[in-house]
Amino acid sequence: MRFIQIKHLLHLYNTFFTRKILNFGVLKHPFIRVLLLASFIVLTTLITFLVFSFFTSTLQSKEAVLYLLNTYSLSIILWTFVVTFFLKVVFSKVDGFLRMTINFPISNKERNFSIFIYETFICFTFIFIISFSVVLSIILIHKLSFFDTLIVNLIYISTITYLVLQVISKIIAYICSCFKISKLFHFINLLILVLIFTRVFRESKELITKLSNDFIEKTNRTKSFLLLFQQVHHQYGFLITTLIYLIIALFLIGIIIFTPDRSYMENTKHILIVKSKRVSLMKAYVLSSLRNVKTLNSVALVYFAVIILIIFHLSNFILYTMIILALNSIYSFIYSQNLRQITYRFNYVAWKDYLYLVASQLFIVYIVSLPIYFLGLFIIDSNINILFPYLIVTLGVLMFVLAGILFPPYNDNPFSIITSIVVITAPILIISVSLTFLNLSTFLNVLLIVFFYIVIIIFSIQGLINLKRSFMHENGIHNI
Amino acid sequence: MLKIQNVKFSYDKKYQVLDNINLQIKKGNFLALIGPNGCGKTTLIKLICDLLENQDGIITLNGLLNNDFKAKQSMVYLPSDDILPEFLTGREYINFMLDLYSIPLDSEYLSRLAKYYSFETALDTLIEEYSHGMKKKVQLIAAMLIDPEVLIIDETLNGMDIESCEITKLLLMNFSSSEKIVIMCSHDLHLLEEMCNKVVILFRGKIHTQEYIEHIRKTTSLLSIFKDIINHKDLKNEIYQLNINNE
Repeated sequence: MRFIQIKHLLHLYNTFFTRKILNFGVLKHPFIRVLLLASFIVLTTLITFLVFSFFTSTLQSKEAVLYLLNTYSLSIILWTFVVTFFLKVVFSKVDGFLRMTINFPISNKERNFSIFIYETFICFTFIFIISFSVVLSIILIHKLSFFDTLIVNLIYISTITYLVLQVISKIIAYICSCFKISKLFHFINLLILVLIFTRVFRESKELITKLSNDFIEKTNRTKSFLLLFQQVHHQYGFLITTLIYLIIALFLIGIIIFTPDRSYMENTKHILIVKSKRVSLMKAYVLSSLRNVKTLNSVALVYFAVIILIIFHLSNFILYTMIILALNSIYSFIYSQNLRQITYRFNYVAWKDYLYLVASQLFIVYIVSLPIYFLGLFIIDSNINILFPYLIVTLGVLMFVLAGILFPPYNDNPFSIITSIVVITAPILIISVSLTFLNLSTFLNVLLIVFFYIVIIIFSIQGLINLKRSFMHENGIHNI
Repeated sequence: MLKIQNVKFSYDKKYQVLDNINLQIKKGNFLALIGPNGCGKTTLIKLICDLLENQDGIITLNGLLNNDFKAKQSMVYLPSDDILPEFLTGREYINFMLDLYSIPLDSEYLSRLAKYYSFETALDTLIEEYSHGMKKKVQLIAAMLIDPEVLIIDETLNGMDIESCEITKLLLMNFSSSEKIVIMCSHDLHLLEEMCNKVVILFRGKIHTQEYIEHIRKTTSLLSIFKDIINHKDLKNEIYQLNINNE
């Protein structure tokens, strides 16, 4: 394996990230960048200050610090899960992200290792940002007294958790390719990660209770595989712990490098379901989403989320899982792009296009929700939890279709969906907070929300008109 | 008849991609539209199909403006880039296109075309799984079934195997012989000389040559005309001089 080639690939990914993500949409503007950076610094400083104040008053003894760090390490495990899961979801949204390297003079191992390093970098950047306040506060209060504990509880725990999850993903990718079901890799991978997360989450909850009891009773009875490194560190010291950590880490990295994996090279996006002889335009819009593997992944996630909610005795909220599928509407515009370009040759009408987009997404969501609805009739307590999710999902589809039109999450950019979501949710948050503070009557609130959605619809149709004009190199912006 | 009158177009208002193009294409014409890269071939085609906003000039088909719905229904455009709904099967795509053009499906003709192109099994496979050549084939099959008045092909034969190329040649020549218009863009001059009966050479946004192929064949060839356009003799001397200098 040639590290110079890996370095070149990392530089390529970084250039891709900088040009495609940091220059995407509103992020191009220096003012927005400065604003975001300033907000981040202010928020981090504020949180660090609050954490520092809290720790100063509470972390007076060594036992208190160890208790905090042990419980915090459990949340780090969960955060590592979340970030890894998030990375897998994001990269599953990119079709053959690594296909741009297909004619490079590099081996598959070098390619896979480079993407592993890049994912690791992103993951640990997030973990660092999340842990920054806690780590800084402890160092400021106790200087380097707990430095080794910090390294074990944060770095070693998060690294091993991350590597284990990567190994699991690699094994799943390998099994999928052996059984020729590579199209389903992302779906199976995400499901298994969710299953493991559920198990770890339950275990963490129990452990926190046990650790709290240990702290109160001044005992050390709690044992768990999630606290393996902490227990080894407590018994055998930092050096032995580091040795064990290095052996395990190198072993896991070895598996990651040497397991064949072509999952990032896959470019197949569709599965042939719901065969049809005649395909009307509306049907074509529905099929453009329904046959896409990502939509099917979302459908599976919805049903899986229902099962998770039932297991956790949260059956009242099972219909809210449709929001996962509503989020998929953000892709409806790009899924139907080829259809649109065909219809440009005929009498294209933007509002009809918009209607097809929204109707096709709502059709999919409602059909998928039917089994959950019928189940809900038996297990959901109140009618509010049956009707309200449908209202949320319908309004959500309108919003996410708009996001997909204004900031299309094209397939070559795994992070554009984040920008799309952020740009849409930001004004919604502002409006929601404003409504809360304005304290208007219910009637006025409803009126404002209706007005807001009329604006969304107008913006969406205008967006489609502008896109057609741009496609046809027309001068000037024409209104509806 | 397809009439193109005083058409001008520019993408950036600085460089004129098409400059005062005047052209009449009659029924039965199989027109070869050729020129160097960037000379405006695809731009002209897109203007004909109303895929670009007309900036200057008029394009009409049988007296109707090209943006008239009836005119659009009479034209089929096969672009060089594959704008195909990959989530559909070949059969579904063909049916979809027929629906857009309001043409009933001729099942027997479809079976024949599928047989000519050895495409029977591929019809029920997702377009996503097609090779480049197969994507071209499915577009051609759809175009033949639609049987429009004007068929515009932009480099569509690139990537097709030899057998399919020969079949396509026969189909297109048969198509144009039945009082239809075919406009074909390609860089394969030999193919165009074989199939087409008229040629228009675009160069730097203007029509350099407009002639019938049989007249060209009597005195010269398309390749010779091209070589004259690019000053082949001087270029050849210059490039050979490079080798001498290096030695």
